[in-house]
Amino acid sequence: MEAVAFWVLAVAAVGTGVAVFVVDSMARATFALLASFLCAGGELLLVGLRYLGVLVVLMMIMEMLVMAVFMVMYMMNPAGLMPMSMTHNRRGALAVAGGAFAALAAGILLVPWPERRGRPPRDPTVALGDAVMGSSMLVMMVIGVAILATMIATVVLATHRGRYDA
Amino acid sequence: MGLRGFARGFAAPRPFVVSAADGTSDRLAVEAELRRRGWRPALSPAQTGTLVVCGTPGAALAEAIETVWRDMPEPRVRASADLEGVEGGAARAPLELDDVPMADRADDRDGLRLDVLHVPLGPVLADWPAGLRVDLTLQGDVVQDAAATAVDTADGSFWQGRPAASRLDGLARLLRVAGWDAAAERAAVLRDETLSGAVPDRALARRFVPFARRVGRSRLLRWMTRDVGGVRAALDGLLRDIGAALEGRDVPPRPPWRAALDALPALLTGTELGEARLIVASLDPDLGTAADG
Amino acid sequence: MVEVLVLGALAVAAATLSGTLAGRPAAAPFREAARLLTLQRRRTVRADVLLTRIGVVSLPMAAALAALVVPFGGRVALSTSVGVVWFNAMEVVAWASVWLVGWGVNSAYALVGGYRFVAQGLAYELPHMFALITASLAAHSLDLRVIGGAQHGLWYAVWMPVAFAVYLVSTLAMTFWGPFGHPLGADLAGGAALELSGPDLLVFLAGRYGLLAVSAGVAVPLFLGGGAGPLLPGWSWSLVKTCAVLSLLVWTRHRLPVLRMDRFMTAAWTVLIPATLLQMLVVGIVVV
Repeated sequence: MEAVAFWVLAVAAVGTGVAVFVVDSMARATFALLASFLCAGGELLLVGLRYLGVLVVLMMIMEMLVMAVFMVMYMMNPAGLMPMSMTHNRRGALAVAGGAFAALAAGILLVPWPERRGRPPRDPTVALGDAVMGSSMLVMMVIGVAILATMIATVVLATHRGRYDA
Repeated sequence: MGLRGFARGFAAPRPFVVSAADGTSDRLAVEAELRRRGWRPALSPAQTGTLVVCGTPGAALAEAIETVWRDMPEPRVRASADLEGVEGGAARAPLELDDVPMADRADDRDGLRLDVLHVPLGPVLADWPAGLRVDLTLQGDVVQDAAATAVDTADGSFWQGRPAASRLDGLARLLRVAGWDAAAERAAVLRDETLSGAVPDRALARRFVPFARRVGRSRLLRWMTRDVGGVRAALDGLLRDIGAALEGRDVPPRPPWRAALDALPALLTGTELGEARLIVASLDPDLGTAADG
Repeated sequence: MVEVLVLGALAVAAATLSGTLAGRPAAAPFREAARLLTLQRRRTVRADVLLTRIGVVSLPMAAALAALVVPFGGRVALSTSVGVVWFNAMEVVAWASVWLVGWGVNSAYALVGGYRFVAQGLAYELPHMFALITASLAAHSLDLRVIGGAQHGLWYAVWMPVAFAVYLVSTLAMTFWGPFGHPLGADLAGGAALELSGPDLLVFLAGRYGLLAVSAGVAVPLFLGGGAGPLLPGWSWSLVKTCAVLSLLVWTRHRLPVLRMDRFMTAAWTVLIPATLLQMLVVGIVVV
């Protein structure tokens, strides 16, 4: 059952990823990419990484919508009236994409995969946080808030007038 | 078909109401009848199949209404002002469209080259002065340029000698555009009570005081209308004039609609679309009165 | 699954309450539903039908999926350790729904409505997230049942009032309801939903009521002690508290004018975010 779900999601992720370059509207490309990410989030949920999986779903929807905002900012073009090609510099892009794929595939085949030791932790979320940040947890938390405060303050100080101010 | 028939019988119609410049009295009758039946008017023609046209539209407005009518979803009915007489829609010819042009581009005030759309506001639009059309040039939701046209006019004098009701009508529209339906509904009820003459003006003036206080003191409304092309001043003026008129004092006459139309382009340029709607509603040009126009 | 159905019933009740507050008969929402069901589904010229349909359907789906993790007392449809994050992820689906509907129908005003909602969502997601995290921080858990059970007589709403207030405000923004209903505003003749007709509009609006009911349901374990209460069983206390929060949320629509994001966005970034951060700091110090 899980294996079936894995393969369905995997094929859907690749399929919608390809669709990004096949469809002829920016909105469809954006949401095809989102669908691909959501399938990847589904895979994470399948392997039991609930927090990461749900986080991928949450963050990717937000990110793709931010992309949509930029799209609307530059192009007031509801429903993508004019079809447009989603590919530019075909030859170069194909070379880069092919190279990246070959390198990653080679990595999968050549790297010696570690054997599983012990059992999965009871709470993978805690284990993940511990593994990523470990003893510097407090520092990371403080820095996180500081970065956010800096970002907001910078934007507030930098824009002497916003979009709607005369 | 039985189930569908039952559902149609059970459904509460939600008419889309369009008023011609001379349709004020019809429109008021429709609104009162809707309230009596517990129905609501539709915000857009797509949301309903029922169209009510108030008054007698001139050729230009009639054409605009016809365009809206032919695109409304089935089952379509055209109801008269008493919401009774109905007339179904005839078969529709397929819509002929020229190739839709791509949006042009122009510099915005930050020097970015952005798409520009040309979009009309009105003349067939909910909570909008009858007969008015404002052609907007938009970049995103910011108005870059505006031109106001009187599509439909009349030389009636419905509001003559009814200063309180006339301003309550404008206040109701302004509050609806400001997204405060409950207050707008209250203003409309007060307007209808004023017009009916069934309630003495002294009693109405007493009823109006708490309402005016609630609207006038609303901090959110104050915040949302501050520095928006004189909307705040217009709102305060409306509240003051209505109170005065209900108490039998003289109020200054409404300015002629031509003055409002002339002022619109300058006021609208640079505003956000929501602000633009508020500004138009606060000027409330009544194209049904030629006398002072 | 009963919990999801209860929240669905509460969504219908919210629609009825909203109508009653506006002076319409109690049957008005049902008659409106019957009207929309028998109305033709209309297509606009050169619309992106696929994206519009996805937008319409995804809104109630997101509400239903979010309802899976809402506990009533100790009962929940789907037991998960990350309920808070799941709920937030489903709320964010609404951004996509509204934007897709606004974009897909090919109408400038609908697009402006969709655009308004994304701006509103971006501005209110951070304070919303911080309010959610504050409650999780105090309970050391992302599981809504654990958070509800961790409040031992002293509700989080009492000792973290800022987080609770911000949750209520931002939840209105995330469900584009009442004072945050500008994306579907009357000034745009219905905004993002301008061109939706018949069943499409019904499904879309039902999704919004569903999201509103779920948001009210989540406020109970987060801030109001979950199913805790004297005499009655846990699930019934959850239900009573959910109804109270839902009534409050519905009532705002009739008490307040609409907030425009060109004005109110600044408040989210410069007032609500610092306020929630301070609240989180206080809670963090108390807990640790």
